[in-house]
Amino acid sequence: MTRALAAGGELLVWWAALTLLWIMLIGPVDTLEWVVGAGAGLVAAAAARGARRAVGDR
Amino acid sequence: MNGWTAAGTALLLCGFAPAACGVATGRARRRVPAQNVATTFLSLVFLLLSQGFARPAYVDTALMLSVLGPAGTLLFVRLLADQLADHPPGQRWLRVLTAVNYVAVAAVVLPLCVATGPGRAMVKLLVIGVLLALGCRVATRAVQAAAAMGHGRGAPAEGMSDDR
Repeated sequence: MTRALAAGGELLVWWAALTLLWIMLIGPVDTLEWVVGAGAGLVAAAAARGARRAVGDR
Repeated sequence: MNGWTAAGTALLLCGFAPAACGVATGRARRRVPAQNVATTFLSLVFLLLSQGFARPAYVDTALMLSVLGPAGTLLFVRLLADQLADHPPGQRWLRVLTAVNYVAVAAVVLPLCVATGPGRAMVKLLVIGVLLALGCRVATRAVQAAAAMGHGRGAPAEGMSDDR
């Protein structure tokens, strides 16, 4: 349970940070960009957690 | 021509061109670190020209280079690890190159941030600057690790082992 919460929390932090980065790097910001950014951020968050686990302790 | 385009042209001729010569000639111990310096300088040139010509789209090119440049250096370090181990680059030389990289990034990105003003564009510039500085640090560490393999054959250096 604790591990699942920790994993969910880590994913959430990655997702928020990467979505924010997406919004910072694009041109005009509208609703569609928020939706696309949130989706891409979620995929990237999963990849980031996987990469972090691959190089760190498992 | 304004000050930004003049600075970009000067960096292209006095920074990127010598670095590109370093990439094209000599041993791997010079070519690999020079490759990282060359991509950093080219990224900074794109930033300066973007400001000079008022074309924000050029910033995206700099952003791509700031990611792909160090990644390319890491790839070449891996591919040329044997040559780097046989003829390792001097530690002092690497430190000088790293310092030049840091100074160049700060000297270009900070004035651009001042000219751009607060906002998302400034955050983007800062992200590019941080990526360039971190990329230089990571690439230098990789070259040092490859060189260290030459000093202690049989004992893989940190980050260069395959047994993970």
